[in-house]
Parts: sequence; structure tokens; C-alpha cells
Amino acid sequence: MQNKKSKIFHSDPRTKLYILLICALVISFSTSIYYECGLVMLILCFGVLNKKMRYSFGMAMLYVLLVSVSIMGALYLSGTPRLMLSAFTDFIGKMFPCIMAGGILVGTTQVSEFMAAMNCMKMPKNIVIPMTVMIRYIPMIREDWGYIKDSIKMRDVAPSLSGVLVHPGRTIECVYVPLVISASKVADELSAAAVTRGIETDKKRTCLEEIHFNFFDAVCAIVFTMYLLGTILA
Amino acid sequence: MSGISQKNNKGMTIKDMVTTGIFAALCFVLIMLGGAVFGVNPVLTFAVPIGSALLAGPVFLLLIAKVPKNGPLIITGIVTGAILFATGMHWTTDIGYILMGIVANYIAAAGGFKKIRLNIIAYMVFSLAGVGPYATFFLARDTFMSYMIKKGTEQDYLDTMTNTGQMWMLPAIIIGTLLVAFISGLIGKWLLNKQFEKAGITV
Repeated sequence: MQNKKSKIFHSDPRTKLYILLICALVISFSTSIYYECGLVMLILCFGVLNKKMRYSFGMAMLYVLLVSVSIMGALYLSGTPRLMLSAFTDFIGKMFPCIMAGGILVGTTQVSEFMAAMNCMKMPKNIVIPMTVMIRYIPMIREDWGYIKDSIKMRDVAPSLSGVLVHPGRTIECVYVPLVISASKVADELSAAAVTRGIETDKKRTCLEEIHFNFFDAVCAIVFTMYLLGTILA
Repeated sequence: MSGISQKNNKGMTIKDMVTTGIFAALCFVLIMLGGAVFGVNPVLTFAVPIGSALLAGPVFLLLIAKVPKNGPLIITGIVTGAILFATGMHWTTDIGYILMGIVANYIAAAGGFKKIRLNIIAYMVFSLAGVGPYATFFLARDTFMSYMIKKGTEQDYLDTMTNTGQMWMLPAIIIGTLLVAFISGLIGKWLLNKQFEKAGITV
């Protein structure tokens, strides 16, 4: 159990969702890269306060790298390569703040906490359960894919474009079948686990992890909202 | 497994919801993967919906086969739209996935979720969701341009997009997307028949 002190900077999942929404809105309204840099700085602070030190700094460094690459490209390249590069950095740069905030959300939120938050927001079960499962499962797909790739290689099928061109049928089978079968196994196991824990009851869900807003949540929400307003008005 | 979940929630059991979540995650990743290959290049950017349609077909069809009820496709649409919004996509894509999820659901429902042809058509319709931004690009070019410039997209990128994007491109994108989605659906049908039904996954 965490003690009272370490809880001061533990923000509510709803706050994190709100911040994610604000990030998406800031990106929609931002008129220049400066706003995005500022946003990444804010998210960095938020991540550090949520004790995601390494992840936040790593992502921030990556963003700095991305921005410097795009500046270098604008300075030294011209014509088509420049366009390609700027399109690439632009594309990634637009998605970056949201991905970073999303990573912090997923990395710092327990599944039970997330479900409790969704229940507090009175979301219907039909959305809450698939959403929760999805957020947990997306990182697992990458892990699965690594194993599948290894086994495919052992059977002398290349999991690449050339493989698809040379042996279309076999490659497609070797990629999809394990991916889908493992997915449906996981679905069976997860639903059995969830039913065992009494997800089906009509009673109100309780949670060991109590979620409630605190002072830190309010500060975060206000800071991010101010930032959004600033971006819109500028 | 059928004995575990008796309680129905609008016809969907817990197992259905978990299955929907997992397959929606797979669909989402495959859609992103197919689209990302083209999205970074202004000339190829029009091919994004086509690329997105390429990979997810088998997973989509299997989801229908596993949970042949009203709901999973709508949920897939909503969840995909929500996550795409959170990653900063053009807003028509997000609305598109939600709408197309609903439409696809009713197309598949017309065949009782059992008619593979209707299911493939449902997938083709669902794939059209990615066309949204391009439709606004062609039909309301000025609005789109000012929106994208406000978003900070580089002028050069948009110029190249304008030069590549002649008026005949819109029907071409739509037809291309439908065609690729159809092929993807056929692959899905073939996999379903050959592998998944034998393995007893499609219950």
C-alpha cells in the first residue's frame, strides 16, 4: 500500500484522459511548432511528477531529436528529399504529444483503476470493457509479433514484402493464423478471468484503489486548459 | 466457455465484449500499419485509405464470425475513432469510423452475420471511413487547406498534394479502397474456410 505522501502526485485516470483530450485539441488548433514544443514540455513535467522519469525524458529527447532533424532538413536539403523529410517529421510531430501522453496514461494506470474511472464517468459496460481490453492488448500485439516472426523464420518463410510476393498464400497464412489464434486464446482466458472476478454482477463495482480528484489533479487540469485557451486565442 | 457467461447485456456477453476489444485492437493496429506506409509521403498520401484497407480484412471477418451479434462492429468503430482522435487525426476520419461502424453493423445484420458476402461488403464500407479527409479535400478544398495550414502542415506538402490531387482522384480512391478491401475480404474468407473453421475458433 502506498502511503499518503506518495499519493500527492498520483493523478486520477480521469485527469489523464482529460489531458489526452486537451493534447488532441491543442494539436488541432496549434498554428506553429512552438505550441507543440511547449505542449511536449508540459507533458514532460506531468510525466515526471507521475514518476515516469525515464519514459518522459526518453520521449522528450526523441522529440528534440525529431525537431532538430526537421530544422536541419529545412536548412540543408532542398527539393523532393526536403519535402519527404518535412512531411515525415510533420506527420510524426503531430502525433507525438498525444502518443507521449497516451503512453503516460497506459504506463501509470492500473487496469482496475481505469475501469473504476470509467464507471465513475457512467460509461456503458459495452464500451468500457472493450476499451480496457484494447488498451492492455495493443502492447501485447508487438510482443506476439516478435515471437511469430521468429517462428516464421524457423519455417523458412520470410515475413517481409519479398516473402509475400514469392509465396503469397503461405506467408499470409503464417502471419495471420498465429496472430489471430493467439488473440482468440487471450480473449478466452481474459474473459474467464474477468468473470471469475465477478465482472458480471449488477451491483455497483467497488475498487480497492480509491480514485478521487485531489489538488494536483486540479492544478494539472487548470494548467492544460489555460494552455489550450492560449493556443486558440493566439 | 458458453456456460460461464449467462448474463446478457443487450445481447452481448462478457466474453463477446472481451473478444471485441481484442479484435478491435488487432484491427486498429493493422489499419494504422497499412496507412502509415503511405501517410508520410505527399504524393502517396492519397493511398492511405487504400493501404489501411489492405490488412485488416481477415481480422474483421473473424470478429463477425466470432461474435455474430449487433454491437461488435459499432464498438470497433467507436473505439477506433476515439483512439484515432487521441492520436491527432483529421476529425472526419474519427467521425467516419463511428458512422461506418454503425452502417457496417447493419449491413452485416441484414444477412444475420452469417452471409460471408454481406460481411465482406460490410468490411468494404467500414474501410471507406479513411476516405473522409480526402472527400473534404476535394469537395471543399479551401476549407481543408485553411484547416491544414492552421494545423501547421507545411505549405510544400499541401502544394504537392494539390498538384497530385486532380478531381478524378476522389472516385479513384473510393474505388481503389473498395477493391483492396474486397481483396482483403476474399483473403479473409479463404483463411476462415481453410484454417479458422477447422480450428474451431469461429464459434
